[in-house]
Amino acid sequence: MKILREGDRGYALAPTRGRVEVVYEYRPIKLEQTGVTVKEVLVGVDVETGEVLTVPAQSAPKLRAARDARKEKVMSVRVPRELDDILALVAEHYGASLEQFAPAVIRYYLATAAGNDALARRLGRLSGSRLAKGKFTTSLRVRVHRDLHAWVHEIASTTEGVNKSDLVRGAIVAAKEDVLEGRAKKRQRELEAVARAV
Amino acid sequence: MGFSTAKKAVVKALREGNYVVEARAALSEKNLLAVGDIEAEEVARLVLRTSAAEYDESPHHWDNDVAVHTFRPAVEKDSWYIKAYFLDETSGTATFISVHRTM
Repeated sequence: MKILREGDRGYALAPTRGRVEVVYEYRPIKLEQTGVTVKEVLVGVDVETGEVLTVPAQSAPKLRAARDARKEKVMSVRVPRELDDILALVAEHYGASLEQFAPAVIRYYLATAAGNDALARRLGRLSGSRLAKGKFTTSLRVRVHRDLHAWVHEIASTTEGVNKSDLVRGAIVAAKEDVLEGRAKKRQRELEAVARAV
Repeated sequence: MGFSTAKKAVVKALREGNYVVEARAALSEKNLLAVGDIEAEEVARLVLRTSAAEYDESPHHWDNDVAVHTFRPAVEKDSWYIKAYFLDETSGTATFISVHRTM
């Protein structure tokens, strides 16, 4: 990958004026169809007019990430306070920030369960455990990709007695069993990698 | 430049990440390469599968001295439209106008 730096120069074609010199600068850029504005994108700017004329290859991942973020949905789930404590304990276990790690743990379980029927059934079963059935006094907000959100919705609608929030509560109880009670070594290693990544 | 040379140059630019896409005040997300919806290597493979009959060269309407290379490969059920040009052949940087499927 050729990496351009801010201030590098090149050439581009401008409407009506033809070949012009461009300088590369970080600027916000608007995506035409979705209307999303992405900040700090390296673009080739016409030296004379300041018009954006090109976007180099290295900027594509940032544009893609901005479009993907738009595909996320927020799940709001009410849970017993004890489940919030469990998330804090799991975060502490890995030395991770609770704020960043807690949603990642939930996403990890939901995304893994999406391709693993046994885990999906386990989350449903654990949502009926005593810990998950307390007073729902704490609210959690978890951003999930649109596809994962659709899967959670589908599982919840096809499983009797289980809703979307139940699956999230089940995921937190599963984290307690797997990490705090040391029941699943492979899952612990995967969650450790998640903790390092957030 | 001709079909074979253009094909080689476009594939080389894609594989080396030595390319830019055209943009205006807003960037069209119809250009799948611009927004990362298709990998450069996948576009390179599409260009490599283009036959001479699926290639066309024409002058850019903003600068008649610049040749625009259009590749229209049909791969499996999809037909593709890939349009690029070179402003400076020594740098080998390709500028992509379009990378998208056609109906």
